[in-house]
Amino acid sequence: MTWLLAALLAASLVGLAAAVAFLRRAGREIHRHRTALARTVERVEHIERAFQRFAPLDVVERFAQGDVVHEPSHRTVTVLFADLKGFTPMSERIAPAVMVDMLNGYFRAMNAALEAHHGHLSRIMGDGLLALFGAFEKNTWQSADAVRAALAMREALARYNVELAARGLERLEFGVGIHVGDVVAGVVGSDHFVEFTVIGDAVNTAARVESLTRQHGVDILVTDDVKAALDDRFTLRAMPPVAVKGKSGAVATWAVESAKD
Amino acid sequence: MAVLLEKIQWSDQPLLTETIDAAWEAEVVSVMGMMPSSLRRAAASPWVRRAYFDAMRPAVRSLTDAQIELAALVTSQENACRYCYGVGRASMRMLGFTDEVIDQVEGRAQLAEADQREREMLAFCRNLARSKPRPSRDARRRLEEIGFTPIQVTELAYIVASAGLCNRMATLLAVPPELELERMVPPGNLWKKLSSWLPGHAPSKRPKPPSYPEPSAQGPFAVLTGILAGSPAAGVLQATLQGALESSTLPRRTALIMFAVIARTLDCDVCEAFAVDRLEEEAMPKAALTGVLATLASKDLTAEESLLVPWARETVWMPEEPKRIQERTRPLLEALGPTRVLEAIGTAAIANACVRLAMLLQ
Repeated sequence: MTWLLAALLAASLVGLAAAVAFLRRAGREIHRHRTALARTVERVEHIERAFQRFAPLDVVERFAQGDVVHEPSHRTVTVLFADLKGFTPMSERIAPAVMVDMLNGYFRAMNAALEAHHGHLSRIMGDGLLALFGAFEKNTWQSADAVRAALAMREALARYNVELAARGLERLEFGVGIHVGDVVAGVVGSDHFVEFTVIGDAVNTAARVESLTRQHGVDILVTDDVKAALDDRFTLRAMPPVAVKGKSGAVATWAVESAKD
Repeated sequence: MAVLLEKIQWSDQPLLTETIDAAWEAEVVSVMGMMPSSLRRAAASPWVRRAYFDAMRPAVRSLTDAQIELAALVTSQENACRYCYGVGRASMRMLGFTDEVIDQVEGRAQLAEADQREREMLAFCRNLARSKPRPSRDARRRLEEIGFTPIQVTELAYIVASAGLCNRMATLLAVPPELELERMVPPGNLWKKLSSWLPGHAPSKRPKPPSYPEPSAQGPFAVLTGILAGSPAAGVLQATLQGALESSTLPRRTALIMFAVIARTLDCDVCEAFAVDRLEEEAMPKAALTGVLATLASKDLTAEESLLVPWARETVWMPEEPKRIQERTRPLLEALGPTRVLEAIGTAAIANACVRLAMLLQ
């Protein structure tokens, strides 16, 4: 009898030890999974934060949840085009690494100015950029924001040129064109590459207006539609109407000189 | 966009110093058991400190403590409020939740991978806090389809609105994080930890919520308090609005113009109409306000209003780096002085709460 009890007790102890060992293993496993989950959370967070620069938050989150279908929508957006003047010949005179470094510094400075005024850098095309105001969220003051952003870009470029001069590099000059109009906003692309973008005449017009900065010898030009949304704190100078490609009539533009706070 | 606690960039310099008011501190300590630095920094304005204190312990009747904490934590994450996020975690710990449970809650808030009911609730709270754009009628209907009652949906919106009010107060005042509270380990033993999982052994109770008389169905604030009909939160909202718009420190007209700007930024017809109607009573014609709302400037504005109008707009979407709006707020202190800037912050906070609540009427 004693032997039997002792055997049962021993078996129970062995069983208990096995159970404790199992629970410990399970605990370690849970801890491992929790750590992995925390890392995944951080990675998802990082990716979402990176992608919200390229598309509205709700679009990013829907993509993150596997919803690849995004209904395009009509909206009124202010489009800002900026391009570096004479950068292509300049880039032939400098080393590629220096050129890329110059461009990176330029885009960093421009992006900061855009973000400070509710703009979103939508696309970089060589030395040019496309920025949108009112595309990601409704913005009653989008045209004024875009013009203030352009003025902030002008100041940022002046500061950047001081930096470039100190490094013995050539100064940069840009042209900026701004137009407001209706566009279709949505996610466009193939299975392998998609982007959130806007499509419409407003985009083409802003690009054409930007190209007029060379003809008029100014750095920031806006259209009549943008001017109509500005109040008397903005100082503008009328430019002669000019015929541009893709437009039936001449396009009237205004050079932006300054704005009061 | 939810942000993890340690990633939030927060100003090192608080906007206002602490104001010590013995009677006020005694009242807060009697309810909370402690005196948060944030309530000391808001103490100079009777209505602001009251609104802030009331928002910290939301008066609702249909939600569980866990739902309240979860909704508030998600809101603080979305608004990137370092102060509230840290306090939220600490208060959940004080309420008896273990660190593991809080991490899970945080993880659920990030990944929204809980059950459908919780996932929809979290999505609703995040979208409302963010308001880019505000959740649609469909979002409310989805909540009701999975078992939330209309009063629960209303009170969830109220939790987001009141947590958002706290977030804006703490962020715009740049209140330093309560590191001591965050590090505090609640007393407890193994039995307490184990029993907290048993039914009926829920963690200790939340601070007692404020109690106000039921608001009148008529009167200037009825359009907004009516949103919360059936909830004790309606009385809180009425008291807060009364305080904000009857203060002798920041002119009523200034507060209402800020209200209108915040409503316009989020495209809230209800709140804009509320502000327009009240401004007509203040002899500000609709045309003058139309000009202000079109350009965020006008010769009709006072110097103080000219500063506050564009700033009010910036309070609608809390930036991912709160330091930016904190730096943007600092020049107001020099121009307005500490008490008026405090009331301007309180006004922006309550207006933002109202525009989020008003989505229930859209």
